[in-house]
Amino acid sequence: MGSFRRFVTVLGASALMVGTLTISVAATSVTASAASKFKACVVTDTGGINDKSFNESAWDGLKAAAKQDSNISVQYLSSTSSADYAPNINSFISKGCGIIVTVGFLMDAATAAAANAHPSQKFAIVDDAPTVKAGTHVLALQYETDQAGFLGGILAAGMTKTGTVATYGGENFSAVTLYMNGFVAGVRYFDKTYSKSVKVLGWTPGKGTCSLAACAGSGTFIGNFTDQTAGKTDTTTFFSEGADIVFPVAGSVGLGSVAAAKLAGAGHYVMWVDSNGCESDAADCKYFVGTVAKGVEPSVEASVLSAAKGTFKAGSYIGTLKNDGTALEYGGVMIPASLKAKIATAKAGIIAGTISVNPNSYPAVK
Amino acid sequence: MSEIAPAEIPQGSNEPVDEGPVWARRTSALWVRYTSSSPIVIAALAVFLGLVFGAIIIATTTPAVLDAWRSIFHHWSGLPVAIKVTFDNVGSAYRAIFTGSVVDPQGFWHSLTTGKGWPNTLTPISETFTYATPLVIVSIGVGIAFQTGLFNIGANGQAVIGGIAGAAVGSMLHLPTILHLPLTLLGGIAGGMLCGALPGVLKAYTGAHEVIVTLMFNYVTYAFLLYAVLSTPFQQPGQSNDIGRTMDPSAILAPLFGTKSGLRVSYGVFVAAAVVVFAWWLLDRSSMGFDFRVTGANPAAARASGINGRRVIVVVFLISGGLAGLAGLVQVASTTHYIDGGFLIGNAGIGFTAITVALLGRNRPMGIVWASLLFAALGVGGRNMQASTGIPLDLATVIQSAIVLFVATPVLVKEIFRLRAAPTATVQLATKGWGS
Amino acid sequence: MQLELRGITKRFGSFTANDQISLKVEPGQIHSLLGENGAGKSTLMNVLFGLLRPDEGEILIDGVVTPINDSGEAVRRGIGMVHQHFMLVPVFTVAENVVLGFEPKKSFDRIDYRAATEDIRRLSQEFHLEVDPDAVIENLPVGLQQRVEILKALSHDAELLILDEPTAVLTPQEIDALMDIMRSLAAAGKSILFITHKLKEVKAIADVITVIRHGQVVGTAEPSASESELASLMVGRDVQLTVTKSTYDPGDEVLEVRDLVVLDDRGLVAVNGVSFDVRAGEVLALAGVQGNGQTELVEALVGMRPVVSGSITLKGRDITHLSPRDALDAGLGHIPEDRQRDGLVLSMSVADNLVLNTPRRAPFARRGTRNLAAVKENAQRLVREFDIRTTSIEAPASSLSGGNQQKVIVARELSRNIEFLVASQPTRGLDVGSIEYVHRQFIEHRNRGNGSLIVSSELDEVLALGDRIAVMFEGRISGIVDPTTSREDIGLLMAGHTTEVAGV
Repeated sequence: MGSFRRFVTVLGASALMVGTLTISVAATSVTASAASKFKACVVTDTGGINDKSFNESAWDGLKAAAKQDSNISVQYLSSTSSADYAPNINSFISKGCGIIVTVGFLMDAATAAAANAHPSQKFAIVDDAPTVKAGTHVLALQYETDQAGFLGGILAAGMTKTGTVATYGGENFSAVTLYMNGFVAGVRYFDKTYSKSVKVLGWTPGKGTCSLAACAGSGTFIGNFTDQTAGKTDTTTFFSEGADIVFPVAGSVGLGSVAAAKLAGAGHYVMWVDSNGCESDAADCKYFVGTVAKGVEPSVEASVLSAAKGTFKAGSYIGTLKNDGTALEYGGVMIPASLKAKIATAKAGIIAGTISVNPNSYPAVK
Repeated sequence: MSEIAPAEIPQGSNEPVDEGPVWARRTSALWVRYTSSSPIVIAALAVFLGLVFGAIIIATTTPAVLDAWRSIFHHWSGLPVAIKVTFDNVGSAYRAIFTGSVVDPQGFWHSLTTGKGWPNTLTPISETFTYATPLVIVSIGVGIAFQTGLFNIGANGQAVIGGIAGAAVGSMLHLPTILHLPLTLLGGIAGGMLCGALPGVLKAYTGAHEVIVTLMFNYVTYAFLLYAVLSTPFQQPGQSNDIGRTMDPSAILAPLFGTKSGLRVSYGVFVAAAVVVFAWWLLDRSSMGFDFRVTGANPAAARASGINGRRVIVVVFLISGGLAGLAGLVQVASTTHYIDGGFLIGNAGIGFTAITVALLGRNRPMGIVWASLLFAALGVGGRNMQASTGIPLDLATVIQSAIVLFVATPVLVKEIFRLRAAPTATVQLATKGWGS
Repeated sequence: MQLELRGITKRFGSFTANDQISLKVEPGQIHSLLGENGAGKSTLMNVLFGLLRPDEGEILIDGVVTPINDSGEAVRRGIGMVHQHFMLVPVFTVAENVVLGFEPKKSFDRIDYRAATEDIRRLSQEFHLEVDPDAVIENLPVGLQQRVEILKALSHDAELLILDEPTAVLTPQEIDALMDIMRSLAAAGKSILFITHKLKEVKAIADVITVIRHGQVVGTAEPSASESELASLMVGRDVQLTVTKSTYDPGDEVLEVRDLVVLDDRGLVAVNGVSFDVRAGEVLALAGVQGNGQTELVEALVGMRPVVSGSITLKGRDITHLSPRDALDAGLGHIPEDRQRDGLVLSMSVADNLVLNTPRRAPFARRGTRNLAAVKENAQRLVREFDIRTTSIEAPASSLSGGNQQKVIVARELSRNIEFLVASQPTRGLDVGSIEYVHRQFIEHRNRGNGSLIVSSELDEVLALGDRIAVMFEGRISGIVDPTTSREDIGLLMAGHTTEVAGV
């Protein structure tokens, strides 16, 4: 091939390139029509919107709000590292988002900084309560999951045939251990109140009281929220140690526990976490004795709707058994009515403040 | 030596230009220069092809575009609209990448004429530099190892350890800036060096393959990271979550234009610049770097020339690991000022991105600077693209990967653009395979 | 088969690799194509084998003009080629390699190995090739691998065999065996085109000699022509085939080796108690068939291989256990056996290669920073002094011809004021002009009063350079003789027969 033809080829290619650039600069924004709507935006942490955990729940909350109110449009930005939080939030501020939902205590600093710099911007942050200046518009969404975990503990203790139940977590931090701590408290309460001796494996509560910010203790942890094989291995170990109900607090790792329960045969169950297992994993409903649910989706939905309507109130929202911000939901296993009654009693006692969810209030079974 | 026919062609001789009018002949002589497959041309064309590839992905995955094309099944008159919708979508995506990573022309004009809104106008380019800074440093570390024929796949783990070590110095000691910042930087370097020395020593004295050791060592460092951010001395006081202590203001790399500007670009760019100068000196001017390059290009000749191969391996791993550690520290000290359990894990693993950046930059310091800026711009601009068009950020990763693919297969690029062989040396892959 | 080339011209851009080349090969004839590296021999053969298309000229087979467009066509026309670098699959057997691409088939697409094996056995017997069809290639010595290549060509009914530098990789014994095979092939009526630059071989076997230079036929010669006639025809000027040495006047001992024991890579004893001295102003030539411990001995001398026992002393200093760097600094010069592997970094510039083992030495570096001006100045000087042909001192070493690559190494070693030179197979694969040049440099080095150890498996070289000749066999010195000893006696020593040789 001669040089001339090659020259023409390259010239053609460059013309195409220049043309594309020209058109792209001249093009109008395709999302212009969305500008008139109320924008609800979520910045996820590194888990992304499909993490089967609170990022996904928050995104579902946004979508649910958009379904309720057709004037709401929704957007998300995932973060690949903590360095992305601040620019992601700022990006949404400059895009004119009506409310920005941030997820998790890791975004505490970035959310607080953005709120202080833009006091009129509405924020909702899941699982965290940042310290911000007066005049800012931040709604902290937090959930006392140890309350529902407590009920889960009673359910597990009432259902076990072997007299041993177990729990494990993804990582040893408070968003996770709060559930486990409540679970252990519920089992101990059951033992004390009904003179049983059900044992719990996988979590030894620390000395003090647990709060949303800190909940110390030691136990079994996978080290992440993704390794289902590890979840299966650990659950099988619990089963071999005599447990027949396992409560994984580790997002999708819990699916490994379901697999282990199937493998172990009849009489082995899983207590699901966060959002109802019989909905998110309907095929395995018969392995779930129940779900210790956390109301991320409804609370996010409510805050977005209020922001769209103009009734948004900054401050703090604490999800409890009382306001259904956390709850025990039953699964696909038959629960005796007597046990349900015991759970209802305990729930009323917690709401009334007469029953403590601190495991240290009850003696541990050796 | 056998005679191989093409080798007998004297260098620089090209086919006579015998077609086309005079102007075309002159211009085409110029084109011959620029269409020869020099590595820089290959890299530029690879970037272009990556963008074309991204455009195809956008066009074939955006519902609006697909709907427009579906409509032409009903009536041909929909064709111009379909074409327009395609170009609109691709155009707005790339425009968002550009305005989100370099500058928005409208905002720039506004700032220029009114003198207002400069921080907003400069945010995109500031973000690009913020992300490029640690990437330059770690990629140079990886590139130096590549030039020595060593694969440091563990740069990410070394960056994690460097980040932890530096953040620990920066948060647990309390000193005036003049001492604290240098000590913090040294802490990062020392952490990375420690972590790099191990695979280096194992390789030099037991022959353990560095790819395996460094790769596996990454997992050790991730486990250590979780341990560190969840254990008392380093964990943020009053937290039971996986978050480390916040560094003192005296230890951080402060924003260049002050905290008030909101621009995150920090004094870290000077650290990166110093690393670039150091790497240039090391590779091009120092006798130690000469030893490295000889070892990388021909280990047998290196041995015969009296180069101590073991020492070279250990020293290269110390330098490579030290730079990775410095990069991890720069990342913390210029952005969050604290480390959490997700530090440099997953997509944020700059130590892995560094491998592709070094490849794209052909292991040369300045090449790495350009490649880092490109990758940072795609990431930063990709975020803007997602925020304004809804096209997922992952597209930026797709484009990055496509570019690397094209760079790694120069033959493909040469075929697509029908380039002639380079007048001098043939294009060499930046690395030499998994040899030891 | 009669083959005729008429006016073959092949250009690459403005460069003419073959210029109006005409020659004729008769049936049963061994036709030698003699020329320096780069003269255009391989280009011509690639044209003939259909790998390159000629710009002008035609190929006639048995008097008929036959264009050859690809190698498949060449094979069908009865042309077989044995490449310098073998095209064999190392892990396959001989039979599998021979049938590769032309597998005889049974039903269901199965390969008929039995037929293939039989075929090979028959051909092997017919031409005295003595190849086992079931042997795996990687286990065979180079000489036998080459025979597999020949078998491959014969199994495709080749009537004309092109042998491209076939002796470059062979030992003297293997060369003799190859010559026998070539003769029996010719006797069976096959035509042979034998490409080489080695004069002795041409004289030994060729029926007709065509000499090419710069892509042109510069003449034909009879095998009776003298070596120097052939050489001057090939090189284009008078060539001194024998080196003139000043009188042998040895000084004190420079290098003393005592009871040296060295292991090879597999941990077996390769050098088994070797002792010798080399004196100032003396060349000790070390002869022997490749693989008798010479490589390991040289590596031990220059510090690249650990010494198990024994001692090496250079000018009274014990250098037995020095690292390569320390051995180089102690004053040893080393011209390695495999120049592309151990001697050069092909991707780096000529200038860098010229300071490859002295990058830290003044004036090339100061306090860790290289002085590129000094490196450049050094390169310019050495390129001039040692007549290294390169387009630029910045050109990569890979762009140089083999002879010039060796000149780079020789220049580097001889320019750094060494006490003692160790050279291993210094002229292997070089053309006549380069050999002459390298030999002259060695002799000048000797004449300046320095000691040298020159290891070579070429008997001619050993005889030309050595003031004394040591012969190595199975890890021991089987004898040290003076260069007037007959070739036969040295040959006996090389085969390990110490007792029969007088004067040992």
